[in-house]
Amino acid sequence: MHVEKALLPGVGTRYDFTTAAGRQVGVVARRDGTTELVVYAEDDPEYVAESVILQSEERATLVELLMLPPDPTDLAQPRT
Amino acid sequence: MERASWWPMATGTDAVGQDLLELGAVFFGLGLLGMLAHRFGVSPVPLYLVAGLAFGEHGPLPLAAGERFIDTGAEVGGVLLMLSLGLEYSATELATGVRQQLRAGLVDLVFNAAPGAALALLLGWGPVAAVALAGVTYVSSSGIVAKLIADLGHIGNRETPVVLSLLVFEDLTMALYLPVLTALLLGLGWASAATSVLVAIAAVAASFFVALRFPQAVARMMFSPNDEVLLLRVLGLALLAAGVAQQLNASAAVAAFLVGLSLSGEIAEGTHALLRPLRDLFAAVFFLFFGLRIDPGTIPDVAGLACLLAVVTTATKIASGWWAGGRAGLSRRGRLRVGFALIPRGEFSIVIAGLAATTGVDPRLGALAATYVLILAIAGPLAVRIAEVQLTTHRRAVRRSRTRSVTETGSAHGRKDREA
Repeated sequence: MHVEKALLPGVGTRYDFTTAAGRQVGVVARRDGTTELVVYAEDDPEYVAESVILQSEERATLVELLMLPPDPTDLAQPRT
Repeated sequence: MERASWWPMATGTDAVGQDLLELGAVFFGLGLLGMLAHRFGVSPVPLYLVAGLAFGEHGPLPLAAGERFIDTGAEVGGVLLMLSLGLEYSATELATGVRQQLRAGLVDLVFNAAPGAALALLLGWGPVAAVALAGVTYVSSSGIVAKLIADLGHIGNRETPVVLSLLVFEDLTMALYLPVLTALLLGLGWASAATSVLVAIAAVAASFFVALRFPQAVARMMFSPNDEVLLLRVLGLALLAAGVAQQLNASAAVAAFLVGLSLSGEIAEGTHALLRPLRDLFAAVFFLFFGLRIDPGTIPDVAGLACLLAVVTTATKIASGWWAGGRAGLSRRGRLRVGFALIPRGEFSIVIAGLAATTGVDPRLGALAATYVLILAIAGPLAVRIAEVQLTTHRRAVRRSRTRSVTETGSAHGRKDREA
């Protein structure tokens, strides 16, 4: 998959890609340690429609959630 | 003493007490103004400038503090502001930014410097004032623009790399421009101005060389695990460099900027977090002290000119931004957003006007620059917000997730342990 990388002087780096359905999503890794999750507008692929700023712990949680299987039968009990 | 009649009167040894009282009241007032600005989501810069105008020598509420104190305060504020600006960027970023945006940056320079130069020449203020006013109208405010982009949630936008690279280009141009201007203002003539620019280029090249080749060298020299030791060293180094530059008739602001630049990287990570609140404080002090030196009585004379200049240079910024956006392959809306984002002028314009004000250039230049920055520091962000509504087809509430969620640290740690 092609991930585009853009340098943001003084802020950090932006990484984004286009999904098969044509939506663009990305993350901005900021120098202050936070991560910004960005979703581009459907009608304007240059414009961030929604952005969420994640602290490092929140980012870790999201990364973990993204890796979870759909049917977590192998897990003894759900994690909270 | 007829001045400061509204302050509690002081005599003899109470003078120091009165100075403290006044400064305390002024800073407390700035705090209130800053709070108001944040509440309404506007830049506090214009408010600090207005406060400076009010408390200035010719203002309605003059401070009793001596002229020398005010001049030193403005200098220190400017040096520290430039230091933190330099810390903001790493040398690598500057190098790539300039390489990518060289042509767009030059278009930006020509389009926006020309109106200022033309106005000064038309008014018959002379070529040196033309160079100064060209700088005032050229350079956008990195501080205001970067904050606006973050506040609007535009950091991920496609046009943002272009906007930020142009800001970088402008700031770096200032590193060459300010020494030239200093030489011209001191009446050293074009030959010494050329020498100044050579020295400036050498200084910029040297700090780039150090920052790119030996990124650890400066950091190791400066580093200390103790926050206050680190801060004292960084501030001391910036003031030393600025002082040396001033003695050599070079630009103190640029010296501080270059110190910040060569410290960026490893050390900046730590220094930056420490300096961020200080930078905002210094910026407030700097704008206040600049305002103190302006006679508000001269503003009505130049208000019309400042408005005209603001309108013209708003148009030229939008035009040069449009051009830069086109080169980056942006859509029509993205190109407009580049132009609008760059409208606000601020700290560098004031640094330039401050330099000009201390020398024999037409005194109206300072008042004109102050009024001009006042207008664009208010109207620029406002224009961006209006354009935001116009350029966004689907209306959306700008929801920000800035509020830090209270994470259950216990479970987070548990998870980490299991991972390991």
